[in-house]
Amino acid sequence: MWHPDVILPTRDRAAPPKAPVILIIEDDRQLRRLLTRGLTEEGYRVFASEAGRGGMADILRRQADLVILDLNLPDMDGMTIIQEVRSWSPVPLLVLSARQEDTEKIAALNAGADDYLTKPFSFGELQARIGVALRRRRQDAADLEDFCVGDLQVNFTRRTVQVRGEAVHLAPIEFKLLAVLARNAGRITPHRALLLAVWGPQHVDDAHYLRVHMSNLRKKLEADPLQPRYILTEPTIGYRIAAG
Amino acid sequence: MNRQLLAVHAFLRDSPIPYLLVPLVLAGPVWLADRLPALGQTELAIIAVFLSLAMALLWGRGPGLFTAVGSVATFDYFFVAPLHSFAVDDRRYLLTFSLMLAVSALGGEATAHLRFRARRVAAREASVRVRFELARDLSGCGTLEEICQTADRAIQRELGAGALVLRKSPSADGLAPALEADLLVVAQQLLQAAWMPVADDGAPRRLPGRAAWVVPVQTANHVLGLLVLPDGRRTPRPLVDLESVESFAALIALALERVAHVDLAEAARQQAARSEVRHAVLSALSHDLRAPLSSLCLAVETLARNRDQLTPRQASLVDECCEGTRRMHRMTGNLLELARFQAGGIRLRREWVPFDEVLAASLAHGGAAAAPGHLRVTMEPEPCMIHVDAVAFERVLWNLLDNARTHVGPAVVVTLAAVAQDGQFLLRVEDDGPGLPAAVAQRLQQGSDGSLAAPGGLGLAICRAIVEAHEGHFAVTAPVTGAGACFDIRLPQVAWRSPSAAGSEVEDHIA
Repeated sequence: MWHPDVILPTRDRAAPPKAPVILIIEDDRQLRRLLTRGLTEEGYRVFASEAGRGGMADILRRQADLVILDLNLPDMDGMTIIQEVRSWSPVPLLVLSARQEDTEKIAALNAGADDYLTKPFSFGELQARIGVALRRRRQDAADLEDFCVGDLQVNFTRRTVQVRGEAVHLAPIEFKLLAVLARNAGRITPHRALLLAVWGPQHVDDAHYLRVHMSNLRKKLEADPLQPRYILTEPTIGYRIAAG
Repeated sequence: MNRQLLAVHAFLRDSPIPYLLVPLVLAGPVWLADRLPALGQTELAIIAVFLSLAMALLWGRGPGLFTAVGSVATFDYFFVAPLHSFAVDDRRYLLTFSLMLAVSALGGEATAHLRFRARRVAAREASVRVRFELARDLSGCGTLEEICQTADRAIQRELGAGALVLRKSPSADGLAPALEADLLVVAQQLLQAAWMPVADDGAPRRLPGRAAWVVPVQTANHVLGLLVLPDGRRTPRPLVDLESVESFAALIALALERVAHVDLAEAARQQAARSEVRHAVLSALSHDLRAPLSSLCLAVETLARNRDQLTPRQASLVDECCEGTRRMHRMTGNLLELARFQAGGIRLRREWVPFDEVLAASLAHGGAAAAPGHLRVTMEPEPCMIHVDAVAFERVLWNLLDNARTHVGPAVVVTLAAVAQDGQFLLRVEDDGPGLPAAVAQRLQQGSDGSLAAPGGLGLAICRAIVEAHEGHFAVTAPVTGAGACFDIRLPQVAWRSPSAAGSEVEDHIA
């Protein structure tokens, strides 16, 4: 008899009891099944819900550590779910969107989603985003003193930056940008948030100021600015610094 | 009924008949004195004055004055001694005659003046009524044809003759039934030649060499048509003057403009509804295609992650599947994007971005990193800021790079030269492959859809659509070096606002 496990062998079905709980709210049956299987194999405890209403109830019932939410659900608008969940829970929300329109992504991030992925996405990317979101949940309260990723080292108290073992001089504004990105490492920081944090509320619409300084920062930090390792661009939405 | 009586009265007043009535009126007192001997000279004098005032009131100044002179003469002839003679014995009667004449003349004059004033007020009232009725009728018109019919009816009814000649007429032949053919031709020639003898101050003018008036039917901006009135007849009643004809024309112009705006609004509404439907279909399609594609990608990737448990043959098949799903993903994206652009109504969100940032994003989305030395980029100046929709332009770069890699091979060297200067952004993308087939290049140059069928044609068609949506120019050109494919992109740019002001502000603040 054909059994899917012959083709998709499982590594370890029994997740340890302390493993993080991931709740998937997705209406596409096939995708739900594949995600459940893949994430279970990675050692998470996974629950799935096919509709928004039931999914929201499951967040509390299953005590989810992270929620993967499809924005296009049959019973509720994804944006409403984000806003409602945010009104009573800080649980990280990872949004899946089938549309490529940026307005939807920006709206989701503004409504309180932590990150988004556009379908189709790779499993590796999903895993990386889940890792970042879960780590943030643990570290949220801790104040950042050092930030390290690859060859990049930032010390916030001494205000020093080292790349590939060499000290790099950053202009004050560049350091401030780097600091904001590093505090949100692994997550998208929208243009608006960066402009608000660095330039203040009068300049939240002047994204081109940000882009010029970001371009300079990238030249100072990246070995190949055209194929950056640290500061990644999310076109029209914002920037993301690779997680440490 | 009342109107008919008035018309008969107006006709009689303008004829000599009232003067013929005067002898009859004068015979009245003579006959009365004969039948009623008790009537004295005083009563008869008063009756004479009354009759001349009545004549002035009924028929105007002339018959009134004529009656006044006649009644003094009759009074003298029949009632003042010596009888049956115009001679007067008692000279006091001369004073009586003078006073009778003066009272009759002055009274008649005043009465005639009052009458004239009353008639003018009535005429104005009638003119306002005509305009009100026209405005009411026109406000019920929903189409150009209805307006033309209503206007023609009103012209025939109130002006007697004349016609409305429109610049854009729904039925050129049936429009001017009451206008002589040669006048119609002249009016149409005037409109076609845009020679407006009337447009400068809006006043009616006489057609040179023609017995006709033209009144412009115009709005604030342009002349919609002409009201042509053949001359050689009385001033139209109750439209008492040309001023009224002008307001007549203004009402028609207003109605014409209203209908034009209604048409425009309707067209815009239909366009919006169509693009809404297209958008809904596309976004549903995009959702429905992406969901199974996501599952396929995840399934294949899960297989690939466990490749240590697969046979080499299975592993290579899984790799093929991976590549296939990736290509399918790219093509679905391209197809949907092209459909979106061709459906129109794409709103570009243009903003200032560094060219290298867009290029970096397109390389990251391409999946496979370019090996060192396989991508040569020159930018001038640095940072090279461009004003584009970052997501759309990233797709342009990504398609050009992907085409080169797919059709030439992974070893291809792509050179990008970006120059931003004088309000323009110029980008040349060149590879060292064998170049595009001549037929594809030609079809692409002509913007023909036939290029879609060529290998890589879909990607290039999207590049072209996106660049043209930016009001730019996308061209296949002869390469500077070698024989590879070479593309030129030229985008107009708005003036760049330097960020130095805001930057220094913050740096001061931080320092």
